[in-house]
Parts: sequence; structure tokens; C-alpha cells
Amino acid sequence: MQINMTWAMDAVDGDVELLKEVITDVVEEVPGQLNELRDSLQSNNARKLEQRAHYLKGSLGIIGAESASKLAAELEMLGRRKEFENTDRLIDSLEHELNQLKQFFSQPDWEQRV
Amino acid sequence: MNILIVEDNPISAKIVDMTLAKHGYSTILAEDGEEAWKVLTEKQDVQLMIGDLNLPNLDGLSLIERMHTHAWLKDLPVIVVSSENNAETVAKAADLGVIKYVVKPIKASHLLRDVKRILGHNRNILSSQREIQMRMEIDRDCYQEMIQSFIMLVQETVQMLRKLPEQDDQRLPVSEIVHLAESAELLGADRLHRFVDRLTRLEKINTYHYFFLLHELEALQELLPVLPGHAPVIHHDDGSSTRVRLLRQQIVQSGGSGMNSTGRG
Repeated sequence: MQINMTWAMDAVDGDVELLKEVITDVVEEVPGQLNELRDSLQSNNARKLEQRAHYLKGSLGIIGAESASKLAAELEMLGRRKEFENTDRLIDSLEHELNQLKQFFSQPDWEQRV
Repeated sequence: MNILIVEDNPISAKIVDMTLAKHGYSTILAEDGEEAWKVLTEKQDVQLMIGDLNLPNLDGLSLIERMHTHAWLKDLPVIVVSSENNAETVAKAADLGVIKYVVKPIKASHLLRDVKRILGHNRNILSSQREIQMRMEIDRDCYQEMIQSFIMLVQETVQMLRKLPEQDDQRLPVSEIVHLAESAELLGADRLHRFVDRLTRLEKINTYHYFFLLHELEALQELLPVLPGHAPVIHHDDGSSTRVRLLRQQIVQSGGSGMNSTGRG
């Protein structure tokens, strides 16, 4: 798991309170977004895969979740190319990253650890 | 003055919205291109659009293309904030007159700098009649009534300014100036509004302030219809007009502390 705090602080112009609020929003919506990704795979819906992955890429990029955002970008590309071959594996990797992120940001002193 | 944010990702929208709100800008949010189009074409007073490209219903580039077919939306400044960074998309946005293309992730301070620069450059001398009628939901007669009152107010302010150098107390009468600033804001005379608003916070005006205010009033008088019974503005080769030139002469001749004869014009 890679967290790029420069991205995150740049995004909010150094406003830590806003960043915390945004992190809470992202973490809360992660399970729903993962379900959407898996649904798109099951239904072979490339457009939906692309859109959901694009959405996650943006949200994760804002909070500095660099590696997770890159995985989402790869999924977006696969959706755009209508390729489903490696999608399942990538979604698993993304889920693993997101679980780590959730755990990390649930620690009360996460700011000191970055 | 509103900034329209077109963004389907609520996290990105929230960051842009809160950053702009913190710096005193009012915003309107739209989640897709069609919603944005509705905002733009209905009664909202939008001065700048900040939009993503990858949007549901109507994508960002199609929205901007559609704006180009509209008489009073084609010149609206647009900032694109998108994760799309391929040359073809960026070139297409540039062809459509996008004023700034920002690749995500967002950097709030950079976006804010761009917004300040763009809105600073686009401050109106006076908004169009149509724009004001739409913004305030008033008819032509009501607008005429307002603009006539504004002309009177501008002229009264000029009269007041003429007398100021002769007086012991050279501070601007704040209540009168505040009234001018309010009317200027209402009629979309943004530059005058901004400047007068700043003047009201100064204890004493200097020659620069004085002539800048006259310059703005001159610019307005060029645009405003002349009231019956008032002499029309006579233009000169150096860009000044008789009314304003006489006024300047009078101010310079009057002298007074805090003013000198080396001002603009």
C-alpha cells in the first residue's frame, strides 16, 4: 500500500479537516464501489467497469492512495478495451489494497504515521 | 457571481466546492452535462464553469460544443479538470476555447489561482441588459428604471467627487459610496463595485484612487444612455471626453492635501 500525502494535501490546499472528511467519505463508499465492479464483471458490462473504475481512480487519487488508484486506472483501461481476462485478479488486488487503506485510516494517529 | 462545478464524483466536487467557498466564491453543482446545461440556460448567473470531461448523460466536450452554439454562453470561460491527458482530448478542448486544462489529481491551490486570474480578467464594466434581466427576473421597463437611477447615482457621485478636494475632510462619505457599490453590483458593474468596495475601507483617498474612480465612471458613462437634459460626452483623440477632462482639470486646480497634479490622464 502506497500513500502519497503530497497528493492528498495538495488536493485540499493543506486543509487537514477537509482531508479527514474526504477520507471518511471515500472509505465509506468503498464496499459499494467494489460490488459495482464485480457486478460489471459478472454481467460483462465493459462500459460500467470503465465508469466505476474511473470513479474509484479519482476518489483514491484525491486521498493519496497511489497504488490503489493505479490499480483502478488499470481496470478502467481494461473496461475501455473491453478486455475481461485479468479483471478478476485486478479487482482482488484492489480489494486487498482498499482493506489495508480502511485499516490504516481507522487508526486514530494515522496522520503521524504518514 | 456563481461558479458552476460540473463533476460526477462527489469527492472531487466537494473539494472544489469547499475550496472556492472558503475564498468567498458562490458555487452551483451539477452532476452531469445535461444538468449543467439546464443550469446554464435557465436563470443562474454563471461567470465561470469548472468541469470534468468524463460525465454521464452529456460528456464535458459535448457540453462545451453545445455552449458554442448559444449566443451568450459561447464566451463563458471554462476550466477543464480531468484525468484524461491524451493529446487528442487536450487538443480538442483547446480548439473549443477551454481557457485552462488541469489534469487530475486536483491541486486546490493551483485551481484557486486560476479562478482568481480568470475572474479578475473577466470583471465586467457593465453586464448586458439581457443578463441582468435574466439574473434578476425583471422586465425591460424595470431594468430601464434601475439603469436610470444608476445613471443619476453615478452623476451625483461625480458631483460629490468634484467638491471633495475643496473640503477640509477629504474622506469619502461612506454611506453614499456604499450605495454606489451596491447599485454597481446589482447591475453587474463588477470592476466599479470591486474598486469602490475597496475605497470604502480606506481612510483617505489619494490621486491614484481618485483618477481610477473617474476612469471607471467614464467607462460607464460611455456605455450608459445619456439622460435627457444632460450634455452628451464629447470624445477626444487622446481617449478622454469633455465631461471627464473638465472634471479632472477642476480637481487638479483645486489641489488639496493628499492629491497632486500627476495623476492619470
